Amino acid sequence: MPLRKQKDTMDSQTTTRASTDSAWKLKGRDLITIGVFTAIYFVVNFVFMLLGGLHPLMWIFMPAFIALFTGVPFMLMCVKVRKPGAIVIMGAVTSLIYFVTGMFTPLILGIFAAVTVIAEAIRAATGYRSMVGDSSAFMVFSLGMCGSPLPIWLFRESFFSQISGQGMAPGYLETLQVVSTPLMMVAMLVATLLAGLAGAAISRRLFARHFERAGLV
Amino acid sequence: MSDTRIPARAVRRADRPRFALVSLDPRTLIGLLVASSVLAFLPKSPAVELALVLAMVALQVIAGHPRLGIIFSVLFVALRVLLDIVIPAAGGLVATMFTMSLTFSRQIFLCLMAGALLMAETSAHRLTSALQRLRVPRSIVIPLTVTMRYFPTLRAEASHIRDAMRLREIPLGRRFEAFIVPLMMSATNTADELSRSATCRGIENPATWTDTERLRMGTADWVTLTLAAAAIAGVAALSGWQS
Repeated sequence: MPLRKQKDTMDSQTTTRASTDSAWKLKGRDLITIGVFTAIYFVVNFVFMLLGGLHPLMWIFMPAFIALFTGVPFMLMCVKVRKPGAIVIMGAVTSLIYFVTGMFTPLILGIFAAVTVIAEAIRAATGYRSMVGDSSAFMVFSLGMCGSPLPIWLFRESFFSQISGQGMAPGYLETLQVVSTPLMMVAMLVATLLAGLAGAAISRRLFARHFERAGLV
Repeated sequence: MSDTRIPARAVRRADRPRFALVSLDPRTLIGLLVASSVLAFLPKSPAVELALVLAMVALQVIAGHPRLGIIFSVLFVALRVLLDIVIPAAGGLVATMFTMSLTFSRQIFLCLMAGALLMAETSAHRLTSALQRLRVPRSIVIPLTVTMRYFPTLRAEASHIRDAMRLREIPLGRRFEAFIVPLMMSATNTADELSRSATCRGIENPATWTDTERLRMGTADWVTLTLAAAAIAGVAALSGWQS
């Protein structure tokens, strides 16, 4: 009998707690939605990562290409999950898969962590329901992939000596050295932000044309 | 989590009795993957690299996956032949393009081997319960599992959409839209269906999940992890001594 009573009070406690913070807490449904859209984000990201091996310019502008083509899954996830944490989890799962397969350096991991936190802060400040807020969050989030080519400028000397020691193609290295001027770094960052803006605009247009009509968002 | 999504092939593979000297815990294999990832960042001489690859091949064979061992041995030989003999001889722009990608694959070769062993040895269910045992928060475990399981579905879905597009002869300018819209629709539907099924199976239950997997770290597990740690220490010491 006392056990029964205890259980009852526990139940009422959980229901009151659920009614107050269920709006902010990620539930199973949200976590699954994040997982599905992270898979799409990851695949697009991975394809451009592979293409970056073909030409140095493809590598430098990889973050911009990724931003252009991942806007739709990112924005749709934001619309579906209007709660804190969605972007951090998307970034964490992506980094985790990349890290255990040896494709992410500690520098990319750090930059990824920083941009996901800033993107979350932007969404929190704009109340999770603003298209402008989600778009700005996406632009910041896209900068995360800049951590991949950034060592070219940050640790220039040691980067080139290390990478040629690993047996990297001399042709690729020469071209890389020629095209990687300081101006190119600015171009990379600006291009990524602009591509993020374009990616968000594309998804906004697709939302209006298809997803809203289909009752998806 | 929905078990209906495991491909029939995987189930059959797991059921088939096979000859294995040791059976490794998923946590050991995760540790091995992390160790390979650390080794990928350390500079190593070709001899050390070869020794590491051979050790991993030996582990794959001992763990009862001789096919994996053979496949990766052949791949490694092919990679070295291409990088050291064919490409320097061929030269030219195309060769340069591939050198970068091939060098990169060579750098992460151990990770690919450890990853393949993890996938062959553990079901997604076992992996999930291992992550849970490692106290990875549920808000990471669930999306991670869904992401890994959604990759094959995504591939099938993309090829269906491509087939449909080919039938309709969509003009080039509208291809992107015609591809991404159905893909997003199907992803949203999958997320909804999965959520409903997972809710029925009690995903919202805040209590600790129980499961039928019996995970246990045995002697073989600790030996493997110790060897992996020794390999990292050895390679790090060697590279420091050389430079």
